[in-house]
Amino acid sequence: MISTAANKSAGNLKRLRKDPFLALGSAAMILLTCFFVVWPIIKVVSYSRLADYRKLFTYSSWYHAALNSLFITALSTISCTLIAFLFAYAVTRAHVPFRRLFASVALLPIVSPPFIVALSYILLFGGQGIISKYVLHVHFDIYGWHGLWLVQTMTFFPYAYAVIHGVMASISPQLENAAYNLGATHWQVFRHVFLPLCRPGLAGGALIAAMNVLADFGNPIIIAGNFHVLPTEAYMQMSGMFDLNSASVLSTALLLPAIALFVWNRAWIGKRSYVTVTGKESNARTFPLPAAARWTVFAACLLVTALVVSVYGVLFYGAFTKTWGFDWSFTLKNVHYIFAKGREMANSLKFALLSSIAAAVFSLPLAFIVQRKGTRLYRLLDVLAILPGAVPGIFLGLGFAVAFNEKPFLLTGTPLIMILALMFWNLPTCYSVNLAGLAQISGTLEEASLNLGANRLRTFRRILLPLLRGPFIAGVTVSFLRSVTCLSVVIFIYSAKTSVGTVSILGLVQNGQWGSASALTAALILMAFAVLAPTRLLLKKQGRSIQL
Amino acid sequence: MAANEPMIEITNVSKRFGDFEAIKNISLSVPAGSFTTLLGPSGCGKTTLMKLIAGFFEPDRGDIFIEGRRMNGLPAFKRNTPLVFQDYALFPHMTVQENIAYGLKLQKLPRKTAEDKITAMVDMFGLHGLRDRLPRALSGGQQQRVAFARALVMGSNVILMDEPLSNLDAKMRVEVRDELRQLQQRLGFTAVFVTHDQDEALSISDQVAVFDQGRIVQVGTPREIYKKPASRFAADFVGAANFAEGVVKAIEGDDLVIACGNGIMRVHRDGYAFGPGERVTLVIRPENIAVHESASRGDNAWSGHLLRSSFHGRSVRYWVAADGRDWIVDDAGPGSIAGLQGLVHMSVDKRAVHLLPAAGGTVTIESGTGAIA
Repeated sequence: MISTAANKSAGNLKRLRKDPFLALGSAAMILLTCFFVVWPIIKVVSYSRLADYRKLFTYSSWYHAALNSLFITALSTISCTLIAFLFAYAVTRAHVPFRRLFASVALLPIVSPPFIVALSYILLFGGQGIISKYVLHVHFDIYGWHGLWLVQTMTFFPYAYAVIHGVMASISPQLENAAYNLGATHWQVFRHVFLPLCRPGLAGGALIAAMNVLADFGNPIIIAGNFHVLPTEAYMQMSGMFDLNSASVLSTALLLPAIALFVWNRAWIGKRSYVTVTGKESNARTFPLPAAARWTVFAACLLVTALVVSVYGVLFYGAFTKTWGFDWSFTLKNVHYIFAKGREMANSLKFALLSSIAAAVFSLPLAFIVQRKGTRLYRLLDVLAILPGAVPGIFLGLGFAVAFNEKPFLLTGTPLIMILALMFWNLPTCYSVNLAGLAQISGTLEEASLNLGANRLRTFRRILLPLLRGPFIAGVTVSFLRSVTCLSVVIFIYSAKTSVGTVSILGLVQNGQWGSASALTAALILMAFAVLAPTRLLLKKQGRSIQL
Repeated sequence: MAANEPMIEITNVSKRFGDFEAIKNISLSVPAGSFTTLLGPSGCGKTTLMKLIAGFFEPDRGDIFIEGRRMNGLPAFKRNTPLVFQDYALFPHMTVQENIAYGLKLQKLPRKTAEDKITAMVDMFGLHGLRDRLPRALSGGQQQRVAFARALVMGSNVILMDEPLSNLDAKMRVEVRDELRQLQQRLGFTAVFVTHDQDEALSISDQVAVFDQGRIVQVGTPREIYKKPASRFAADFVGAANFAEGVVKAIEGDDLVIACGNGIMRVHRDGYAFGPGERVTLVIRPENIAVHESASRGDNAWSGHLLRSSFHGRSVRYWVAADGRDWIVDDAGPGSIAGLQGLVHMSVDKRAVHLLPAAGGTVTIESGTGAIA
């Protein structure tokens, strides 16, 4: 055993010596990712001493924040998974009307800023809410864990849906038909054939939802009130008291379950791709469900859809309303406000664009080295490339704030730190897209090119690069959407000059300026769609679809 | 280059991947202008050898020469050994024209010359009207023709082919292989062809190399491979065969007299060096056994009980139990009418029996006539 392992690593070294270009490239990649990913993590974790960590168990507010985080994560994960399952079932199996509508509604929240549901929730159910005040004439306190639960469910069920739908769509209806053919009833087919086949999707979807709920900062800061969770508690310590020590303890407490969930997810679901070459859909149709079951599913989906649609509707309505709750007359003043915040919006666009392109470009050689030269040494590169995906945004932001605050690496307050933080936050997204894209390109294509006389560089340029265009664009797009709507990563590192749209919105919400907040949010959503729509079309032409 | 001078010379080549020894000390000479087929079951090393020739792998030991030049260490893109891939490996983002032109462009030929060469290929493979299509808009057969055109346009003396016909349906496969053979003879290139299909190998080749577990177990013309297989594996892999154990009893004139089961077989000596007392394996092809309803007199005849039959169109295959074994008999004669059943009689010509040393037995070379044991 030991001798073969030694032989193998000796073989790796030999290969590296033979290919100095590869060796240098790998070394540079490892160094850069370590510096921008591992180093900030180490800085945060090591900032506090062991005694500080003990406070997690003795300080009741910290202790409760940790418990609250786990509680809301567990609760929201269950509800997210249920709704996601329902939607996926309606879309793939139930033969109900409006299936396309349900499918697109389930994707909407992904392209939106993280706190949009929370903001709309206040507009709908808050003290001055349309539904609470003017339809139901009731007043209830929406701030707290139940509000957060609903908001997190609405925000993150789409992530679970994407996974569950993918698995459900890949289950051949012929399997169910075979069971019917053998005499099983609807319920038996569902229970014994369909559900067991869905299990990996349910598990994967639940984990994705859990990771997102746990790490989320935007919704709890707006809606949770006195129900503090780890990300908001860390933020309070920093913004209120500049207590870096406490913030690092709380962030580290958040990092551990986040990494655990991430590792669990990787082990179960593996490297899912964001881009799939659209395969042949199965022609087989499933046996129709009993009417009662079908319409129950339909009604449930319709209810959730109505909620999602009203979330967006109320936001756009709010953007053109003078004073929410008091003066409902039409105004353009909020739209003007978008221009008043022109610098922040321009920053959002600029940073998102630069960071996503940088992440896509940087991840390309990374994916190439890992996918095509798959030896043991490159496993390290693989781990480094996906590591930022395990780190909550708030932690990564804090890490950058701490790590690049001193000479010679003084980046605090610069646009560069914003771009770098967003870039490495998006690295796993672009990397996995490129990796999957490369895996889809048969190795014989490269061999064919070499065989016809093209050297390696030319083969990379003429064969691999053009074929990777689709994944590359998809990676940039997804990263752009994530960046433009990102709050958690930037909240610790923005300065007056480098502030972005999401930070402005947070300020407005905290001041109760709902109208202006709605207008800015609507502008961000439009910005996201302006990028998403044409790329979707472009990729569709290439026979690919983009998964968010 | 004169005919039969080796175009490719492979000497004592070995290749291992981790603990798996894919190629075990192989030597093979591919004559110029010949169609040489590497035949064997999957995982036998035939594709690995082809990739060694093309330069995708480097041999651990041994040398590969092409036109007398040692290829070891020369990267794939400098070897000019165009390969037709099993999955065709057409570049999906390039049109038919661009695919065919890809290799030529790298040769930096004058524009006119390159254009002429491409047009010649388009003519030869009937690709008119498809020049601007992307591969995914082509049928399987069309894709395959583009793959051949892309390799042949390079004008190399050597063309490698890795199971290029395996993705075609049965009827088309036969058509294309005949066309391919004609093309090769017309253009005169040296072809190295990998396949696991023995029919294909026999019908298309000048020379067949039979692979088994990383070794070449026999090299010869299709006739030699079929009629005189060098081992039980070769006999069994290339076509169906009946095997029977026997002991040489005597040498009488030109015949070896062999005790086999309860009977005696006479086999033409035909260069076999077996002597009395030696154990041999008789190899008899199913189509060489005649089956009759009435007992035939003379040598090499035996009887058995007909178990079952299956109708194959041009012949009927019978399974006959005799002498404690099942015999496979293919009958293409006019007598192959339904209704044959029960006790049947079989016979075989003494020149249609091939001999191998019995499993575990050794070959002894003897000359002259031996005595009766």
